[in-house]
Amino acid sequence: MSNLLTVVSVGVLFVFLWWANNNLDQFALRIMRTGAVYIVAAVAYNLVNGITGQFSLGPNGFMAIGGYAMALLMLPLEQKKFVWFLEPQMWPFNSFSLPGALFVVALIVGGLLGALGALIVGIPSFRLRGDYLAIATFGFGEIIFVLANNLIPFTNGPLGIKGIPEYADIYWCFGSAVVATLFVKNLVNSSYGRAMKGIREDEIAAEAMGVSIFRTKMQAFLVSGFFAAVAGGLLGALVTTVSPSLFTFMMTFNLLIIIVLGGLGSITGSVITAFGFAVAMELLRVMEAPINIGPIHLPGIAGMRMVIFSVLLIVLMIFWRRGLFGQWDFSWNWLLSKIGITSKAAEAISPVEQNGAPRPTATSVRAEAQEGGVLMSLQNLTIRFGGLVAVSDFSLDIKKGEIVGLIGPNGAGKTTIFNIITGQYTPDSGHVFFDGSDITGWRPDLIARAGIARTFQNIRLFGELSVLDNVLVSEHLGIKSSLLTAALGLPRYLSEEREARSRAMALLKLVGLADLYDVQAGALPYGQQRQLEIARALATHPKLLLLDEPAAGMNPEETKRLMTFIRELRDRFSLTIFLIEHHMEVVMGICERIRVLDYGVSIAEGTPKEIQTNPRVIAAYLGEEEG
Amino acid sequence: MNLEALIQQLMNGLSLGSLYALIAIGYTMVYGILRLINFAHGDIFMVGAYCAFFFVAIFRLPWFLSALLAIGLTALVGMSVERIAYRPVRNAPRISALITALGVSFFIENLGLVTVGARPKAFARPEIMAKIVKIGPAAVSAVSIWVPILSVLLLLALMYVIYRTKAGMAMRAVSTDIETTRLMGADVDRIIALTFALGSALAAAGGIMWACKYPQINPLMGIYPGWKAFTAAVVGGIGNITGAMLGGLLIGMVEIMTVAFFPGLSGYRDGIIFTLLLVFLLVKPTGILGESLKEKV
Repeated sequence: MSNLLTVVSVGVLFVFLWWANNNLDQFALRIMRTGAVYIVAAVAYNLVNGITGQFSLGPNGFMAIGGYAMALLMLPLEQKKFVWFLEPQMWPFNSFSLPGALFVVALIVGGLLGALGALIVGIPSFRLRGDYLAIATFGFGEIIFVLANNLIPFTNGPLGIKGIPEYADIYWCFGSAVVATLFVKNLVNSSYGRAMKGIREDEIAAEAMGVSIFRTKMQAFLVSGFFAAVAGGLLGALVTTVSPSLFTFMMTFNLLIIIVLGGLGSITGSVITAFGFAVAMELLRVMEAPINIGPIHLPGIAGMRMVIFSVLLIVLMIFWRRGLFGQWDFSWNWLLSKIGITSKAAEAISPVEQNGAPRPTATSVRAEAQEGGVLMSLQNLTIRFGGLVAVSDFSLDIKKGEIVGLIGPNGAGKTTIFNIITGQYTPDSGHVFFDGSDITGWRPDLIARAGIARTFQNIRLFGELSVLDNVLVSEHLGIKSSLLTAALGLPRYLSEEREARSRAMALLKLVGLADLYDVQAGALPYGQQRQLEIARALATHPKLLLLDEPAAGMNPEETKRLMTFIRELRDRFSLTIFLIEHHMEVVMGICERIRVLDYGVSIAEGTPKEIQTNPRVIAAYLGEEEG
Repeated sequence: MNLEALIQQLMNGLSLGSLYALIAIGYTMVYGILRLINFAHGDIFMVGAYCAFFFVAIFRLPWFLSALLAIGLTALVGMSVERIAYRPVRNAPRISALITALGVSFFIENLGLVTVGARPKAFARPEIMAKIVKIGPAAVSAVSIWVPILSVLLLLALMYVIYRTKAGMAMRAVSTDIETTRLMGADVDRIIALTFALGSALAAAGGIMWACKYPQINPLMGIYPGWKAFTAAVVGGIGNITGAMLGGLLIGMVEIMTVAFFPGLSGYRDGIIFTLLLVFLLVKPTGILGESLKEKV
């Protein structure tokens, strides 16, 4: 249904373009074409800044790559001789030129080079946390600018390459805009896109759910670099010239205004604002040009447009951060449900399995078969923060199928142990063995893949994403289709997506959140957020589940239900559970074995009964008299 | 290259490097406290030079008084930028703060273009800076000697504030953990304002000295020094003040020596600095002195 509607609308668009091409004047057509090129660039830019939440300042550099690549391939040979009249052009570009029919090849080659550029900047930038991407992409843009100005045999320097045939007609421009928009929109709505949004919302939580931070950021950046370069190629073939001044930082600033105004994270917003921007630029040009009304002469003020734009940007960020569309995106389902043809809920829930819970997977069956063996072994873990020894020589074996509790006063180092197990911290000494491998020092996403899932004490949901999408971020781990398969919406991916959705809905049903699947996770009450964290952790198909204070903030009634629920989980998914909890009722009620930690040191271990009567435990909790 | 030219180039590199260092410190202090790249910092540098210019050219004040007033006024501008633009987005997603900072940067530049015009203005430097001094066989402009000396004095003063005063202790506390510092009863807003004031004052001092060294000022003069100083802060280890100084000197030296030893590459000098940045991020991502931060989970 949606696909059919998309095809029909694209058809209608091209009929309109055909009409426009025959009836509108050159000026109007030129504005339209510019608008379409801006759409390609803005959609690409928003993928990195809005969807993935990484601040890139790179589009002008990538567009320059695409522009020059296109010019070098497409400029007719005679024109090449004419352009490089001072110094000869570099081989092999001085010996060939592609015919107009191969314009698309030039665009794609430019796009691939843009992606290569993105790879070169992305590798140093994404290796560590922080905002290095901003400075690295800016620096990259400057490097390209410097090269374009100086490598005269290659780029013809500041004069640029003139006389490019105007290949970027209205069909090429809008065709590219449609392709870029559909590709990016499909990608954003796919499992890959959800991983990107997960990173935007909470990098640490996303990584703990098995999302590879480096790879996912890189994927967004490569796609973005590709389309930015395509936009650069189109722009060159629209204005018939590429030169360093066409791709200055101003281009990036304009694109930034577009995506911020349209809404960071809204593809719909970028498309509409990009097109509107192209028109508005023409209108605003008036402000900088001198105006003569009869005898009255108003001098134009250089820079006034940029003053207005920059104030607009600041005001938007302070007062209207969501922009026109926030993170909302147009979809046919939305439209159809608005006009009452289908119900939105039906679309999303229909594929839910009726039995309520996912069937045990092959791995969980295997785990069950081996019950009794040691699943995880912590050996002599020690970690220091500055001078403070947070955990000291901590060892613990957890057997398959056990429910083990970790208790201790505040600040005893319990969560730190969880953070070591899941790879957020690397211990100064000691080892974590899990399911036969030494996972000490592994990246958190690899540990999640190995089968350890966690919840967070201080709740780290993806607040702006829907309840369902929160769970689906974890399901990304099981997706086998490639990014291209997903972005092209091929059947292989779509069936995987359907299965992931039905598994996710089943998990939501299990924690009692199925009816709230399209609510924003950040809007849920506290107790339900904790439930959602559990569902999200289960969606990684773990063997070991770490629960960090699952009962925090719950009333006695809820606490009781939680206890039954945790036991059910263990049995249904053949899980092993390791939990931190302050509610003694919970710990004593469900744990088979309890370990007590105080000041980073184990002080006791035993069954609930043994712990309750252990004098050292009582002393640690109630304090003991000095002496 | 003969000894004479070498000494001249070394002094050039040293003075340019000290200027980068002065600007880089402002970046690194703000980043250390707010995790914000203050893109407008390079433009604050420009504001400092213009303030001094106006005090001298329009109000006819003595040069040194003008410089002091300009530094004070620029510190106020820096504080206002924080108060008006950055404070409202302090708790917003990080990208909103970065976009705001870029907006402020463009605003200051273009407001400058609109109000004082794009035409460069000649900056009057005091006699003492304009002299030519002999170092061994080399004739060196006095400004190239004054700039490193004054920079070192300013940095010592900054170090004193940061490590020997209560306000400095509070700044260090905020950079470690803003929430806990608030709970300890410190007025975090005031400390952040002070950070901006100090950073802006140093940038203004840098701007004025820059204008003494290259006595042509225009509203866009802060862009490249700003970006290169930020590069210096990253290369030195972002958040680390000593690192920013080392990074600044390194960048200044590399820039001057590239041109001195390979005149053919002078067109590429900006490209070389940013390539150095990419290489640093790849090989030593935490910079010369920075350490990777353990993020609280």
